[in-house]
Amino acid sequence: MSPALPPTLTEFLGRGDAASSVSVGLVVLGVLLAVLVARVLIQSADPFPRRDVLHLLTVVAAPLLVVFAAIVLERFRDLS
Amino acid sequence: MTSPSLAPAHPPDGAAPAPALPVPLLGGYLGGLVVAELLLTVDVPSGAAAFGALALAACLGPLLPLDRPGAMLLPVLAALPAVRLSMMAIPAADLSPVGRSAALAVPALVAVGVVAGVRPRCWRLLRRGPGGWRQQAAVALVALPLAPFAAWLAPPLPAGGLAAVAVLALTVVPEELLYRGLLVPALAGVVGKRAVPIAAAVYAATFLGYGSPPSVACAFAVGLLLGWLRQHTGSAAGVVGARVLLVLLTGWLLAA
Repeated sequence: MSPALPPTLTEFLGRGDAASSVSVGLVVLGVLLAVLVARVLIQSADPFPRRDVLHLLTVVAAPLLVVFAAIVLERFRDLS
Repeated sequence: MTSPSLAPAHPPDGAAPAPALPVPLLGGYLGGLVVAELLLTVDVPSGAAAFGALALAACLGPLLPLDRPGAMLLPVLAALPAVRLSMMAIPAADLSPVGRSAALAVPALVAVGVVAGVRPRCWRLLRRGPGGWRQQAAVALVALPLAPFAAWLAPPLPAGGLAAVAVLALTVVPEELLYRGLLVPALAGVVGKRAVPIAAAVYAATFLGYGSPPSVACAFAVGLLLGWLRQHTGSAAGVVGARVLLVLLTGWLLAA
């Protein structure tokens, strides 16, 4: 594997079956759920929420939300 | 000359220095990254869970008493495992090679955008550095001598040929922005001169589950070179150009 070509290339070349595995998807959903629940708890539990923690949770949640949307779209496409 | 904007911050005279990010904690985080990468080679869901746990652990960082450079490093430390988890989980198996490349780049681009939104202005990403655009263009040309070695180590061209390689070249942009554009200056504020080798080690670790030892070593060397150039020129524009050019030249050499 060349450092010119990122690890994404390996997904690209056929190890991408991991991407569709149910287990990895469940991990993503679990982490996303934990992050979103944590955000709600932090925002509601304190009149002055920790913005630094909220921002870190956003950093983690944002790419996982993209994955979640892609998973949902794929499932809808499979159902149709 | 190292860009002064990337040097560690010093407290005002007479003020008690705020605690820095404890080095053992940073070392533990880096060890966790390596363990997660190695777990991927054994069991992918376990590796994914490890990345998820690391991302959540990074979110607890603000609970520690940290100085400003340590606090600035936390978003990047949270983004790295989140992006790795996203890339292995995004369902793109049924897409064309071009579509797959684009799909894999989106989560990293989103994460970079969120982290870049709160970065210090001195962490220039795609703006001109103190040396001007000519210096950035010169940095991009570093790809020329590296391309033959990269082609030697690279796997066969993906389906879709050069068009797929062209799209793939764009997918390295968010990766480069994350590992060199954000991670190097963030680490520089905490560990000073050790930022470049540590960032290179983090980048090389992403090849542990995919490449041979020479590939990992080559990735570390490329990370060292690009990281040093990023720190020296004060902007990530040149190293992004270098990576894009490296992918394009490698694809062209493989096709030739």
